[in-house]
Amino acid sequence: MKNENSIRIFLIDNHALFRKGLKAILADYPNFDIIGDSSNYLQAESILQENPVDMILIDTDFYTIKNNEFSENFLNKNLTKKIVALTFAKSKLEFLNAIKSGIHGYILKDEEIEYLIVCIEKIHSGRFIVSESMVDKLVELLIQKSEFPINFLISDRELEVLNLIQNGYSNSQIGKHLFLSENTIKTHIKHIYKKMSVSNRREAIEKGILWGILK
Amino acid sequence: MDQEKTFVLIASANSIFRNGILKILSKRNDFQNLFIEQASDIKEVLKKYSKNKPRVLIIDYDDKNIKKKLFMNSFFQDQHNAQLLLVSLEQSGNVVFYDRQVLSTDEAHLWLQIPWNENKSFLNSE
Repeated sequence: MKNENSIRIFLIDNHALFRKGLKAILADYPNFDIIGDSSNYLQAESILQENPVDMILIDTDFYTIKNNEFSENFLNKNLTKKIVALTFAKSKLEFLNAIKSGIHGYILKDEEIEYLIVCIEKIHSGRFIVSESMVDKLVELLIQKSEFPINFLISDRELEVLNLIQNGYSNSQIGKHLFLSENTIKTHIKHIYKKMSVSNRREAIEKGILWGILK
Repeated sequence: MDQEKTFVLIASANSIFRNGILKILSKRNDFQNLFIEQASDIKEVLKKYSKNKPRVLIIDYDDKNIKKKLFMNSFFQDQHNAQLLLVSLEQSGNVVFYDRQVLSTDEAHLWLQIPWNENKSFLNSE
């Protein structure tokens, strides 16, 4: 029997077997009221507009910024009070993107169900919970954020290039977009890497977000 | 009795996935006729597979603890009717389903002569 204090939960995950299984597990807990589940944002949004919840458990590709905007949307439109990432993603960038989008917890799918249950209850009561194996990454990100970017004098053009990199453009696509040659783009990227002390696109995006120059 | 039950093996290192599948199966009408076991690594999978000859196997094949090649070798060397559902937790695309039917050579000969679209009823007539 569900009571009026039950935590109202909605699941978003495009892996139907995992989602339906988790839904069946959580539904057995009297403290949880599983309002629904969906494989995608748009469907979830239309359901949640009719029936807002306390918490969304979401597995997403946090690598793409578009998904973060969806997460922010859910919160801004008061469709949920909390959003918790429940994911296999362990990279710093995905973790960072998820945190930036305003999530209230980052739980790995590898965890035991009992741990997940405890996390849901703690997050509902106002705590921010991160899976233990992600804590090191959180610390690394905090250290990186505190680095003062002495050589960081990035030009408007370089920022434009960095933005396009974040949106998944290749060098030739950036060139076409900005009406510049691919070689010029490569030179811009080289300068960006040097100024940001990074060695690849992923690191550049990470630092860009950390330093607040990328969304 | 256990001998009359359908043996189901769920293999994945992921506890939420294993227990979720178990919950889904528990809602089946024939749940009482199922004997369900779980395995979280290849050692356990091979042990339970060779001992119990499961009729249904649900395998998280991208799971590093499961070692898909080792399992598949064992599966192909073995000969008993089995349904195998290959799921990848890392990818949300399609799952792969194999329904292995073991035939005598006489049955195989008959099977070759029956139109393909009627084979299903032939295989299920056992």
